[in-house]
Amino acid sequence: MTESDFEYLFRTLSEARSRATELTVAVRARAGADHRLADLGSSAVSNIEKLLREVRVLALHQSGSAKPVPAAAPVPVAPAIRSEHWLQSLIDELVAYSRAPIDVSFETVERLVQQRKQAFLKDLETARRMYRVYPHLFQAEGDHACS
Amino acid sequence: MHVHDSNLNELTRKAADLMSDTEDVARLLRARLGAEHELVRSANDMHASLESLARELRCLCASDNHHDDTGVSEDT
Repeated sequence: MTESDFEYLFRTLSEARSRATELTVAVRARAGADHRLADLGSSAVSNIEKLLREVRVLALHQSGSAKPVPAAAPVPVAPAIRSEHWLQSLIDELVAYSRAPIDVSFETVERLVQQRKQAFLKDLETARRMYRVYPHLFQAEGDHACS
Repeated sequence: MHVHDSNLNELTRKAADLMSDTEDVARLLRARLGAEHELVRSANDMHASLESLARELRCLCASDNHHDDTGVSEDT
């Protein structure tokens, strides 16, 4: 697996997770939370998240066995890790809910925030490990952001 | 269940697009890691679940259109 492979996987799966979540919210709003389609949507989101986590773990394991990247690499490597802020993801989901023809309760919003918090803490733990083993990627991303 | 929504076609299209846009994920993982790798199985699971969602939506959409064409409604 190359770094561009990981970059493609992170980007594609993150986008897919957002799109599947939005789709599931819309389906649930139209068909009802008890409809089979709502279950299928939730299952799809779970499977995407599971694969995304496994790809991150693979990236960590692969970096552990790989040789260090030379400081003067001939071709600059694109950052493999894109930051995806939990707030944007939460807002996207809330906007999807607000567009749906259903009432959104405080309990629903609290549940969504709690889910994001748990996912964030899990991702944070993974990100810290990735920072330790992939410092050059974070450096490249920082340089790119400054330019 | 008859879902009353004119945007059902749009949801069906979005599900099909999502399935199509993630097809290469399993293909890439299989090429890099081999067909027996755990990640390939997870990618296949993901693709299968997206496929099920798209298929169910398509069926529902077809049923919805059939009801519209024949004038049959579960409300009646």
